Amino acid sequence: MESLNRIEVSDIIDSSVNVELSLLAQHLESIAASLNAISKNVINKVDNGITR
Amino acid sequence: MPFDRLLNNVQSVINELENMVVESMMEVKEEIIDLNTSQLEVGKLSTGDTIEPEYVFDSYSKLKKSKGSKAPFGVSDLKLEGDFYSGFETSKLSEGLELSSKDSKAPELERKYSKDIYGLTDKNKSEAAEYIKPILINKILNGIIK
Repeated sequence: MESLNRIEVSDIIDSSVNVELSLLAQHLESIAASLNAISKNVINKVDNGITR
Repeated sequence: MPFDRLLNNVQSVINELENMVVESMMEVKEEIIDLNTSQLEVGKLSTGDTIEPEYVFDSYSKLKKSKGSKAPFGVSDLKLEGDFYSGFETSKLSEGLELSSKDSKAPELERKYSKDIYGLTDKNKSEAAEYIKPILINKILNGIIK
């Protein structure tokens, strides 16, 4: 039970802050995966150009 | 900034969020104490209820009013010289902060009026959150872009 003589974390933020940050992390992971795929694609094209 | 570092920073902020909130609270502990004592000045507990029991003698209630008490007539504001108020302090906990007073009369006042003399009403918790949020947002942003 919450003690009234305390100010607790849940009094200041709700779980939505954690959810938003987790979503941000997911977006960043997704962007990182896309950037990886793009860079591999570019490297393949450069390699193909060199070896052609 | 390397992308992996940005991602790691966001994960660290998620893991450290509770601690960041508590640290932010501690940075405005004086304002939180002021909110608590301002409740007492008007005769309110952290539950929002009026401080009880009331003074026994009307003559004392009149004296308090003549000295400028903001509490309703007959209601205690726990203030005579102000030592109880000035003894207010905060203790840092893992899940928040705790309010108390180091004044020698504190145990007696807690017994008489309950421990609800400490803490904030819902309205004042919202006000405290307004002090805390800019500090917290700064900590989150600094944590992400460090």
